[in-house]
Amino acid sequence: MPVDQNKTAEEPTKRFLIGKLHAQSLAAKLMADHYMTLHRASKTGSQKIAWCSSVGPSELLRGMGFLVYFPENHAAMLGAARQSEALMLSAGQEGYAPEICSYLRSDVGAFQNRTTALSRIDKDIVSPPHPDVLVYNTNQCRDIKDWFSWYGRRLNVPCIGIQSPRGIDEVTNEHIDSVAKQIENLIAPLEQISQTKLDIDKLRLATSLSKQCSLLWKRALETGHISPSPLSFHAALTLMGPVVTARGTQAAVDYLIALNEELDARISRGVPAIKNERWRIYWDGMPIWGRLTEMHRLFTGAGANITASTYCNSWIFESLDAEHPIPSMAKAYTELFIVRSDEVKERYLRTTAKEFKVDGIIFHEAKTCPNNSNSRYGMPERLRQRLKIPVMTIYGDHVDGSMVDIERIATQVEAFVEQLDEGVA
Amino acid sequence: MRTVFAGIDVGSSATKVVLINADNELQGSAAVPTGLYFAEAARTALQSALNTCDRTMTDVAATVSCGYGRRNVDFADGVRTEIACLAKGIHLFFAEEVLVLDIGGRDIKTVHVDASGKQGDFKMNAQCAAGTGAFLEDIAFRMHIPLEQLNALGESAAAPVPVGSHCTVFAAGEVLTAARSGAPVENIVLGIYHSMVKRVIEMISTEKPIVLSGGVAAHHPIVCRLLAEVLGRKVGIPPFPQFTSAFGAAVFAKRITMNNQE
Repeated sequence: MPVDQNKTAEEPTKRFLIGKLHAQSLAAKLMADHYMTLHRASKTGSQKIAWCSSVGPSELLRGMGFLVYFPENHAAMLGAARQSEALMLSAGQEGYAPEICSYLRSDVGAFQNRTTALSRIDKDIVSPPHPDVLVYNTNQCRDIKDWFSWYGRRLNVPCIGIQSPRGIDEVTNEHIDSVAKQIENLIAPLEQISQTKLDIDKLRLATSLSKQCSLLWKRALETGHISPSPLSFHAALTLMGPVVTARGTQAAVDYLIALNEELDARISRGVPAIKNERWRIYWDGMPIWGRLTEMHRLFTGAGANITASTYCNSWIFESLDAEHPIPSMAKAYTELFIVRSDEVKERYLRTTAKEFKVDGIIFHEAKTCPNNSNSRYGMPERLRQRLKIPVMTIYGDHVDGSMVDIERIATQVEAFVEQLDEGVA
Repeated sequence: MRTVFAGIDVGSSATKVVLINADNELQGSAAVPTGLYFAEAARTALQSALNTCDRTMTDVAATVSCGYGRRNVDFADGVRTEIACLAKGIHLFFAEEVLVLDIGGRDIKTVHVDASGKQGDFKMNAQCAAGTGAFLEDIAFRMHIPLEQLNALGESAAAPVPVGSHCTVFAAGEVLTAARSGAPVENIVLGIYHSMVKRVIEMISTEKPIVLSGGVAAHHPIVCRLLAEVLGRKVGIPPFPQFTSAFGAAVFAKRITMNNQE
């Protein structure tokens, strides 16, 4: 590419600060590289591949030399491309009820129909990478085990995992010991599958890198404390891709360092994520993947920025400790928001809403994701009374578009901003 | 001289227009079926409303649209949600803090309105038309009873036949079962109204005065009576309950004019 001799050294930085973050392009490239690596390994058999749940023991898998694929990311891609609805019908024909996880139904449906969202990255990718093992943790939900079990039966591949306690108040040593033991029990079958002994140094390295990823991602998200925020929910959803799929790798750490540098530059120059941040919102629950851009325009058009969310905060594993990888993994994966009781969740939301100086909270009640929908047991009402800010629930789904009435949601969001404008809690 | 302010509520079933003067007094109104062409429905309804008070478009100082088709009203000077307009409209008739419960063609909304007319917390029904005007329309169709006769039939009933289903189609099945076993039609109709009230009760969580608005309140006032019985307290209805949001939109239109004059 020819170099523009008239550009000064200042201008490349200036370009990054306007509009989209440059880090979003870096994230897209990292994700593409991740999937191409998996694709090549799947084709050639050069490296063993493990499918893992998004908050599953990926550090252990990397420590055993596996490349790691996360089906949930694929399901989100299907949702973002609005392919899910048609694909879910096939899963329904096998008896998977319309009320259960739409990620599961659309991903399984894609496989049944021999299609994949990964073809958008490269047309040579015609299916997800073939797994040598499927590894789950039910810390997030039971559906992940049902999902992986389908593939285990279909592909005749070992499906192993961790059954975590859920709805936890205080995380006790008993909880940690139970999960740690189950993680240890995965080692023998994984060694057999990979034909490799667990390399403790690799495990420590992966754990250390995951920890670094967590802290860097947390730092990036905490820029949302600043008013106006340099980060929007819409941008964060793109930026978090590598945090999920590449955590435990140096590439993810390097990317997050670059992201933080760019956010720091935005802050020092006073560049906000949206032009007119009049109101700051907390979003609890899943994104509506098939309507991200519409939702972003809806909020920004009304001068509202989603400056914090439960979802983006979910990939912060502060308890990871390279010196004690397995017990620290057990703790880190068990103390997550999604695993906790409503009392703990409510306390977290109260604290976080204040830290991020939000003016209102929106709960997304995803029809087929009860574990990520926290509006079903009165929490919105309790938060409204306690925080004295508007709290609203909208109804939709993360990828099942038939559950999403965008007109109704648009009315609710606009009315929510009107309520904020009126100053009535 | 432009002397009226127009509020247009483009609902999923009907488009309502209200014209008010500077003192918020009703000058004219009209309602037409919305159909598929929202802008056309808005123009037709506005012209009809102007006709009722011998005025023309040149008398309209400003127009605000609300409702499902609010963004299709290309000649509106402003757009607000029907929720904001509901709050403004109800405050014209109820000066105290209230919870307004609006039952429309396919929506149920509750909105807290404080004593100064400001819009507070609101709720909308989840993705289900149970308890809305669409529910009544469907049941009337399946029972081969003109919609406009339902209210009187319900009022004449001795006792309701229980109808439990949330789903309109399944509720229609219960209606057929009841009819087959010889239940009087009016008792079945009363049961339908009771099931509507059960749906909306779930959305009420306040001891504040309740006000009922919307098309269902306008054409099926029995719902107001039943709601009051279940809640054990008075339930108010504004004048022209189907036009409450349009009233509010007209107030917003007046505000636009006043802001422009400052």
